[in-house]
Amino acid sequence: MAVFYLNRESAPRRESAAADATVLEYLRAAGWTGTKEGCASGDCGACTAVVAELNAEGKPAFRGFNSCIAPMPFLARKWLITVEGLKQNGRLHPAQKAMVKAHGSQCGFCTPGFVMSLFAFCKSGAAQSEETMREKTTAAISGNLCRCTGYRPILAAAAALAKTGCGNDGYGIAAARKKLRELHLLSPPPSANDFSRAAATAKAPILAGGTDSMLAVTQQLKPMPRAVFIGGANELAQIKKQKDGWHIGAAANWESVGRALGSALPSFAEMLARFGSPQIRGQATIGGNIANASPVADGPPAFIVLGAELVLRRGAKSRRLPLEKFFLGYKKTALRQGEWIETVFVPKPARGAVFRIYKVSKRREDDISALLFAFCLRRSAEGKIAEAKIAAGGMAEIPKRAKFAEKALQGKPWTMQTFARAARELEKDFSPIGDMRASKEYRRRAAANLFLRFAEETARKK
Amino acid sequence: MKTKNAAAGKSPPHDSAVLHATGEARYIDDIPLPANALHAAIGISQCAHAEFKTNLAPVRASPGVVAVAAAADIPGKNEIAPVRPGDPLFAEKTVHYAGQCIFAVAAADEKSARRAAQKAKITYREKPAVLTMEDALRKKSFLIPEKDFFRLRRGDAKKEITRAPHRLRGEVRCGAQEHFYLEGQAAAALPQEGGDMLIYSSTQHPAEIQKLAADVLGIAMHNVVVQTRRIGGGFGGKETQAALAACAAAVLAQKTGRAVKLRLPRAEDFAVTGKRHPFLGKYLAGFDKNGKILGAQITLAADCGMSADLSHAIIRRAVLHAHNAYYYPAADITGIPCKTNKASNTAFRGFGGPQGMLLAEKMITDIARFLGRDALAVRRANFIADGQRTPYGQIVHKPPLADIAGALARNASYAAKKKAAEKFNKENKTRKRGVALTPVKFGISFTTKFLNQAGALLQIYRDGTVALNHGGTEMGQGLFIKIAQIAASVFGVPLDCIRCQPTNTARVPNASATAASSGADLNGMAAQNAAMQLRARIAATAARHWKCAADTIVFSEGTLRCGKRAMSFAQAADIAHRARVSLSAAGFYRTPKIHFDEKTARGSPFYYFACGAALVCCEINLHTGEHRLLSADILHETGSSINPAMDLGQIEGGFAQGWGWLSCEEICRNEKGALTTTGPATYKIPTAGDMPPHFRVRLWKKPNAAKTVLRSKAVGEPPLMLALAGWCALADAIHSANGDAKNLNAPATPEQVLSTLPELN
Repeated sequence: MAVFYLNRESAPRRESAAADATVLEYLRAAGWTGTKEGCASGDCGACTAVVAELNAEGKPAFRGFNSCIAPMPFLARKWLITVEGLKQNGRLHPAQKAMVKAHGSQCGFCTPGFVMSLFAFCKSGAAQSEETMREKTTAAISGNLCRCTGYRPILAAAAALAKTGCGNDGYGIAAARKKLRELHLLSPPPSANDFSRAAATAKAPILAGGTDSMLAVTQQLKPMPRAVFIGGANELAQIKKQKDGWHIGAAANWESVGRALGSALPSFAEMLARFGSPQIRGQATIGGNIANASPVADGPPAFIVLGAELVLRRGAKSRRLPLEKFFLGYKKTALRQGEWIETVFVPKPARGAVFRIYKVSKRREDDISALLFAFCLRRSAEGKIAEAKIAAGGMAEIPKRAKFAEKALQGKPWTMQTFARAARELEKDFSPIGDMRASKEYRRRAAANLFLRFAEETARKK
Repeated sequence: MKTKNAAAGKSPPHDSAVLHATGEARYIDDIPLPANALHAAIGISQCAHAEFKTNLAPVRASPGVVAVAAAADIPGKNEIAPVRPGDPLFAEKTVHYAGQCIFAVAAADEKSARRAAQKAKITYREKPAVLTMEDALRKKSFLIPEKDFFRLRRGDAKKEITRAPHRLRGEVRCGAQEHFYLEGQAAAALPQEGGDMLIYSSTQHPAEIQKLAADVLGIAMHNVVVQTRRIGGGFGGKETQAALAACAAAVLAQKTGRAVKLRLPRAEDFAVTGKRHPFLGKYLAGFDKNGKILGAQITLAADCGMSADLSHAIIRRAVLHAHNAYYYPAADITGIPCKTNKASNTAFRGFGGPQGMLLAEKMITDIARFLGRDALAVRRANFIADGQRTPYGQIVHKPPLADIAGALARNASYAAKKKAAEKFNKENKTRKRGVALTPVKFGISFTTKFLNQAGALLQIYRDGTVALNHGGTEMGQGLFIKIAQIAASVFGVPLDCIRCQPTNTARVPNASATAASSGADLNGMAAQNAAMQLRARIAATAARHWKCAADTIVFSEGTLRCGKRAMSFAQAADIAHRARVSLSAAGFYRTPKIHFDEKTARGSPFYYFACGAALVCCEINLHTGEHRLLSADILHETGSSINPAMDLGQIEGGFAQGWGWLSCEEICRNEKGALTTTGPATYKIPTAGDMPPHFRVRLWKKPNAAKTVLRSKAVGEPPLMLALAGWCALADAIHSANGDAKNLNAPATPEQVLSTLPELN
């Protein structure tokens, strides 16, 4: 049962839908056809709607999401806002006005999705200064495809909206707080214990953000009548920064992980800006990214080189496992029946550690990596390589360490020659495949060159 | 009589801008249907070439299923080809590509229909398939005999090349491009009384849907009405490819007597429909020490897929544009239509022009490199000049190429940008920058002459409001607002006085596809023609009323004036109605002066040319081949723009789409010929982040010398080819990295770029 608010309705809705019913299907079946289906895979953004929710700190926050792959239970305790909900007393919302004024629509099919992304952008603080305006507006619409405009007018609309703000549109923080607290009272979120019990007994898949799992439903039409839904558990979305590092609840989404780790690990933040889209990053969780065990997931290589550990839980019992040991084979993990990831512990890089992630994809934004390399190297007092940890995605059937290459770096001087020599060892570490993202030859060559890039970026630094 | 304060030339928003932004604009999937409406899904081939047998019993038995239709269930003709037969609605006995439609099923809801379609038992006996252009060329798998290939010859190219001081040979390939209209293929068919059929179709060509649906259903054209209010993107992909959804829905609707909607899921849309033709272009050029081309032998092989569709016209346009903006004193250009076991490739913005022009720009790039000369200087040396003839013999009148390129080079600082890039390249070892300025000259008109006609139907009601019908479809380009502006300009009424009606085959018959950039040119003229007939009638009525001369009446701001006397347009309409004057007029237009002899490849197929130029800077990374655009400056012709904001939108959007074609959009297949890029997860069209941070477009607004509607110029397709500047800039950067730019193809993905670069170390 999902209890949620929709647009300007005065009473909450209660819907008990199957796990494989999507929010988009629900909206369109009810005649709310402003929200469009462009791909049913979370890649084009035409279905973008916005939710207000209480985040892990208990504060109301607005974010856009792909309604085409969001399962109905996801709406629990949320305020859902669709394009139909923006107009007030027959007048256009500032986000809509900005799009009209900037000539931001042509065929118009993607427009409701863009309007909702602009609305979310405006609600989340938008851009503060002219200097960051282009970067921020571009990021805000990076999960929305437009085939007509070339984006320039939409960026202009976003910039104009950032200046005017959303005004008194009825979707203020205070209103959201009131509604969301009410929903939390009506339908309290599950605790970690509730969840663990359900996971152990339900014999149903665990669904977090569902951004990958739901594709089986929307693309292959596989039924999924039930799922244990971890997404709404605020307790499991907490991120605690402690002396030793970050203890991240498995249900923490990537936007919040990025906010927590970004300032200490700028290279991670850079990668994250190209990881999925704002809609996906707000929905997808760190736990899901790991448990899903995709060989091209962007999270694991970075966390492996940082020495991350998982807290795995079954019922009341917990065990710790280095992330590296979690991946056993293609989409095969160390999770036992009824066991789930509760926490991801990411240690702080050691003093003197140099950390870099390089994501390589056909398209800059919102594209799955052809390959991704994460480097974490420690420099000794003499300027040599004291320790080297390197891991890659897209190079093998699991996120995998480059052990031969690491060995070739160990104890060697921090020079271009050393890295060039180590890159030759990659042949022993990986035998990548070719697919629609890249050929195996490209993966090999680019991988070796990323060692040179790392050397170039870090060699001169003392 | 005359009109003042015309609405044309201003930039009112798109006619549906507010409806787009509020989500109220209805696309096919949003149209409310009768409560008993059915939803359809299709079953497609998994093999590229095979004889097959079906067992559809499990489909029929699937929950919710009401009807199934395959080839044997078609009452009329099983053919949905636009020109030459070869495109069955449902495959019979043999499938010719992976993705070919075999049957359709209608059920109570969409999921039931799609699940039912999955249950079909289809057995295949595979046959040898031709999956690459190389294979087709080797096996001589062509659509027509070699003697019938479209070949364009001027002078003795071979001799001129042999005599030339320098010779160069080269080639370039470009891949397929998926249209990726955001609204996928969709149609709804609603049976009417007496066996009639009403079809809502997301199509660029309602009249052809009407014709094909009538043929398939075995009824007459006047029994079918097709209506299209707007389509969520077309780009050529809904010119012929919309027929499948519409005709399959119509067959099921006729069979069940209930409304049927068919909307292809994205992955099926990718698999079933044709794409932009991949081309392999080869040239042998002779030129002098300044790079001036003296002769060129060119072959353009196109991957047409399994049938002709529009391929012959597309190849014709490619051949006619293989000189782009340049003068070839001697030329021998041949188009080769390769037949392969893929979805039949089809129209896509530019219609072969981009592929032909890519070859021209590639040739110029290679020549400049060979001579060590600045590429822009070589381009300038070759610009076609006033009074010169294209290779097919059309005289080009005062082409603004040199003026546009000059103004752009000056205003966007070509020389300074080149210098800055050189400096950057000296200072950076693993990043290199490139700069290029390339021109566009695109012929406007359908090269098939009879298509260059249009109709309109204008009706003025007694309250003075106007209903505007024409044969063009609104797909985002702003056609409706432009034509409303044209009509408002004739009547001197405010824009909101004119209401654009959905495109409907019952109101304007036999309309051509909204294609070839011709939408506003043709339909705008037809609407203007209808509006002028009505204005003359109203002026005559007012003149009788006032007892003044009709030619002294001024139409302005919704009012008619004659000296000191005035009446509102509404009053005038009412008076005319009471005087029994018809307030309905059919307008018509046919493009004058055009002719082309396909056999000799000679004539003047184009009413005029639309020109432009782009100056682009890019940066490549030598580690991975990743690249990005730093700046794009564009100067493009619009004639006297009817709506500068709409034209700007076409130019910016065209550039973006062209850049996608040339840089990141890659169609991939497995060894069986099935697509592995089946949706936006794997097929990447540009996002906002792929657009250059500096993106500035200026319009070149000199009135069209040809007598077009309000002296405007077509702007739909030409800007797509401005993106060639980006591709040439990449080649420039690759050269600066000591790479082998001669081997650069399109799309220039990071992998493609890296393949041209030398090993680091």
